[in-house]
Parts: sequence; structure tokens; C-alpha cells
Amino acid sequence: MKRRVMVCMLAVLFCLLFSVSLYANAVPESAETPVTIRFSWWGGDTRHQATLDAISLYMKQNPNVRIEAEYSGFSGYYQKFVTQVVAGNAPDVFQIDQGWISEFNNRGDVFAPLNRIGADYSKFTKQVLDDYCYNSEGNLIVLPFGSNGSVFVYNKDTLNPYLEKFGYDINSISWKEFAEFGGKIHQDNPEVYLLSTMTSGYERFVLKPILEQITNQIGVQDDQTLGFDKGQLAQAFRILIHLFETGAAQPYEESVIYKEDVEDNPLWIQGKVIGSFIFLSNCDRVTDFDFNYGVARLPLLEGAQTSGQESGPSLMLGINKNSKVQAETVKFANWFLNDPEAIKILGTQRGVPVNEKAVEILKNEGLISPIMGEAVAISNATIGFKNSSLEMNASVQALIDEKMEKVIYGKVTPEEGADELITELQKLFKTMNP
Amino acid sequence: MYRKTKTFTGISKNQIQGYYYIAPWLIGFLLLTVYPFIISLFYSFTDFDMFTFKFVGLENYKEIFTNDDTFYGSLTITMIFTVASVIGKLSVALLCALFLTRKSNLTGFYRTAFYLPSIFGGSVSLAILWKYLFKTDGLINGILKVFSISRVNWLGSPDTALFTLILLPLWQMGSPMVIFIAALQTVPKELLEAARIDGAGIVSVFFKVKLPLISSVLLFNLIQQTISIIQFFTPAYIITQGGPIKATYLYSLMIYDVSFRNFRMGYASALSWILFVIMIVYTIILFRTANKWVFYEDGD
Repeated sequence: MKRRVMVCMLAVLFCLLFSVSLYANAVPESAETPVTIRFSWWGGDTRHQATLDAISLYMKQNPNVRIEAEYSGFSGYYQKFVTQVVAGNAPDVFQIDQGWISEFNNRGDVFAPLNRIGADYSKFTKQVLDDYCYNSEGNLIVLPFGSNGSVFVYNKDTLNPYLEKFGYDINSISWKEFAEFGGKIHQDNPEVYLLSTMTSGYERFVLKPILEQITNQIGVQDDQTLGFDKGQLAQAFRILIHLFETGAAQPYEESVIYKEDVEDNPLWIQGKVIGSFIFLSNCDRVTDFDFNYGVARLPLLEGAQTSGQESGPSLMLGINKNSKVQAETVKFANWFLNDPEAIKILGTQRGVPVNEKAVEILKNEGLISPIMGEAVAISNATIGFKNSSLEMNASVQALIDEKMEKVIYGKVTPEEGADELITELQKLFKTMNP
Repeated sequence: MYRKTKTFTGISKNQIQGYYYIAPWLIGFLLLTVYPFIISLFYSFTDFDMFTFKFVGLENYKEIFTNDDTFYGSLTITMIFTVASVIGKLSVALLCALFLTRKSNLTGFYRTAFYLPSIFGGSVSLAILWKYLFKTDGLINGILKVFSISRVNWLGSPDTALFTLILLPLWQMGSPMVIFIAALQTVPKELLEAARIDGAGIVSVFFKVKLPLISSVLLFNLIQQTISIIQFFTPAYIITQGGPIKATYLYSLMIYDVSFRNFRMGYASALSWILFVIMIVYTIILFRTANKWVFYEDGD
């Protein structure tokens, strides 16, 4: 008897709970309905802080909205995001790399069509949107946080005396001169190097531009054809390793553990690594030390018809197509990208905004740092090719990094490395959807 | 009161009550262990990319064995890592256990001190600490400098990176050490005294008396540590990410990359099942050969 009463009570409780949840789902969002939005991004501490400050302001202005910040470093973000998408647990709004978009587009339905759900992109540069943000069905699936470009940031205090002594012009230098100059600096002071960068930086900001300068086209095309042959790739490898051979670049095996953050490299902190190739959106982060810094364009090969410089939006904002709070999420995204207060708080943490109004606000407020302004000007003056999606594919990048490392460590010659890379890329393409 | 009545399935009501008590664990076991286990076997015969899948039969296995150099490279590195780590870890654990079974006022302190590292497990913070210890300007090189030894590029050189990773499980030998201590304490003292009276030295006593008597525990530790170490992931991912030039590209990292970077969950499932089969074969071999070197007191 007691057990029957217990079972009946449990059944009633279950029905009550079930009907409450149905009711909760049936009630449409209103201005007063409490809403939780999940927002994920990657970055360094300064970006995290700026974003958290912006979120905090939005929540003050919208007391019914709670934004759960899910942020981390770059390492592992992509893998985590993939898992969340597959599990149906992706955040409502997220930061995504431009190179990942086609990967998700080819496989599943992840992105909400921003042009149909009320996103405000009226102030964004139309060309950038047309080039990077629409899918093949004509839907606007992402919005760019900011524009980026690859530049050479250097420590003026350490470099300028050497420029005078050896008579080079860092703003107009070839790869050969760059290696020579760096070699002379290192000979003069064995503790000093002209260059160090992140592991992937050597691939993205050195090998890739060199290859594009040789071939005058992008390396990996979207139709899985390669824009280089074995000889050209071997030549690019030789130019790359020459930087290490002359002592211009810090030995790779010493810098390899600073995979993502050159500002963690003690030699950079001490001013003994003079310069680094980076994305300009990271300029403020890596120059946050007690030195004077300058910016220069990438070195050029003689006769090169392109700079090989990567310029365009790299960080994009997407909204989850399956978000249960899409209306409120769009409202937040619009605020995040367009509101003057948000723009002032976020500054250039994600590159210089592609939003024209945002750029104007930042300039008027003096929030574009001199070094960032310089970097943007150089990047705009030396725009290279638009990246293909396949070239930015994580597997392709990992394969290029692997073969590049083998050449740098001397495990294979440049010719063998080129041969291996071309063969492995062909194999990899066969496993991918065309 | 014990209720003997049976339900229509023949299970007594008392037994059903038992199942209620273990239900939370049982549900978790079925959902989080058995289900992934079975579904991964299914996925290994498909080209599942986390969004769609198509049955491909044995294609994944065929590609692994005939067309994947990374598989062989990673498996080799993993085997070297596992063998070196297991032998090293158990040797150090046994040595410490022998030392800590001697009577001393500080025995308790030393047991705690040696056991503490194993509490950290495969934590991220430990991996970051290890990375900072072995950086070019880290503490280890700082200590070497005191002895006028030139610094070693522990993590940046393919010749030393794997060794640096092997040291981590060695440092965390607390768990097998505690098990060895317990086993050594069961060795009859009369046998040890008799051996010493017969003129056996410390080394002979160890190899001829102690080691045979703890061989069953050694077998247990051997199997358990091998299974644990062969799946080493978090520290390798944090410290070296498989580099430099794949010198530390352990099997677990390869599975991770194939599944979450390359979107080839079917292929990764096949890789996982191959590892499982390797472990099964290894365990069977150990058990089959155990009667030649494992001593059980009851004669079995």
C-alpha cells in the first residue's frame, strides 16, 4: 500500500515537472524573460579582459540577459568547438577562424543565416562581406570581427643601432638581405637574433609568403590543385632554412616550445630577439614591454610580383543555427559589433574593425595604437592573395608544419621535404570531400 | 527480512533490490563505457566524419596497414615510450618499496613524499609544470648549470623530448610503490632469516626470495601500468603536442588528431580498436607465460 502511494506521488510529480518544462518552452522570449547566452572565443589575456568588460556592460544594460563566457587559448579551441557542434552543444555565438568556415559548411548546418535573422551589417565593408562571409546559397553566415594582416614587428631600441652600423633598410629588404643582416647581428652579439616566431608562424608568415612570391599564386587551391611544383617548394625551403643557417633566426629547437606566444619567449622579453612575424591583431599584445617597437612589411624576393602578405579578416563571428535564444543572441551580436561603447572597450583586440563606423570611433578616441595604425597602413599597402579555404584547413596546415619541421631539423633535404609534402598532400586530398 | 519470493523472471526480489542499489553505477557503465565501446566498433567500419557516415567495410583497416606511415611511426614511438616507462616506473617503484620497508622513524614521511606525485595524475597543471621545469631556461637546466653542465634542450630536441616525457610517469611511481610495499610486507620473515643464515647476500635474498614471492603483484602492476601508460595523452598534448618532428607523437595524440582535426571518426575508431587488440594480445601472452615466472603460494 505504501509503495503504491509512493509510486502515485512520483508519477504526479513527474507530470508536474514535465508540464512546467513544456510551459517554459512554450513561453516566447520577451524583454523580461531571463535569457542565458553562451559566447565562446579564444585569445590572450588582453582580449579576454576586453571582451569580459564588454559583456559585463551589456549585462548591466540588459539585466534579463546572462552571458556565459567560454574562453581559452587558441590551442585546442578548434577541437573543442568541433566536439560541441557534433554533440549539438555549440555555443549560441562564437568566434571562428576564417579558414574553418568551409570545413563546417561542407559537413553540416552550423551557421545561422545572419541576413535573415536581423543581424546589422550595414556598416561593414561590402567587399569584405562578399569575399569572406557568404556561403554558396547566398546566406551571410559570419561577420568579421576585424581585419588582419601579417607584418614584421621589431624592437627599435635593439635594431636601430644595427641598421646604422650595417646600412640596411628594414622597410625595404629582400629575404637574402634579411638573412645576411640577421647573420651579421648574431655574429656581432651571439645572444641576439633578428627573428623568432611561433612554430606555425614560420609556415604562415615565412614559408607561405616566400612560396607565393616565387609562384605568384596561392599554394593550395580550393579545387585541390597545388600552385607550386617540387622545385619551387624546395627553393622556398632553402630560403627558409638559410635564416637559421646564418643565425638570423633563433634556433628552431629553442623557440619551438613557444608554439603560440612569442611574448612568452624570454629572449623576446629581454629584447634579444629583435623581431617577429605576426598577425597585426597581436601587435599590442607582443609589444607590451618596455621597448620602442616598429613595424615593417614582409621581405620580398627579387622580382616578386606579390607581397605574399596575408590580409583579410581572420576572426569571424558566427551564430549557432540551433540556438534556442537566437533573437537575443542576434541582439547581443549587433551590440557587440556596432555599439560605440562596445567598440571603445574592445578596441583592436581582434584586429582593426571592418566596420567603418567602428574605425572612425577608434580613431577619434585615439584607441588605435600607433603601432597598430602603422601595421594596418603597411598591411593595406601590401595586400597579397586571398587565402583559399583548403589552404587554411587544419589538416593541411598540420602537414605543411610537419614537413617544414623535418627540413628545418635537417632530417630531410629541401628537395626530399618538397617531394614528401607534395605526395602527402595528394594523399590527404583523397580523404577529403572535394 | 530476507524475502525468498521470486518474480516471473526467476530473479528473487532481494536480487532486484541489489540491482536498484547498483543502478546508478550500472547505468553509467552501460551508457558511458559499453555503449561507446560497441558504437566505436561500428564506426570503425564506416567513414563517419561526425556529421554523416557510410559503411565502408574494412577500408579503414586496410588503409591503416597499407597506406599510413604515421600509424607505424606513432605505434613505434608509443611502444618505445611504454616499454621504457613501464620498466622504469616499476623498477623505481620496487626500489623505493624495498627501501621503505626498512624500519625507520622517517618511513611514514618518505612514503607520503614518494606517493604524492601520483596523486596529480595526468593533470594539465602538472604537464605545464613539467614543461616549465624542462624549458631551456627552466629549473632542470638551472641545476645542471650549478654543476657546470651545459644546458640541454630537453623539449626542443627530438633526441631528448621523448626521454623527458618518460620521466613523468617515472616520477609518479607512488601507486605501484604502495602495492609493492604491501606485497613485500607479506614475505615471511622466517624465509628471509633462513636465507641469510645460509649465507645469501642482499642481492640474492632479493632475487631468490623476495622477487618470486611478490611476482603475482609484479604481474598485476605490469598489466595495470602498461594499460595506463599506453594511453598517455594529456601531458604529451600539453608539453610537446607530438613534436618536435613527431618525436613524441604518441598513439593517443594520433587518434585525437585524426578524429578532431581531420574529422575522420571512423578511421580513428579503427585505430582505437587496433590498440585494443594489441593490449588484449599482450595481456593474453603475459597470462599464458605467467606460470613460468609467477609464484602463487597456494601452488596454482
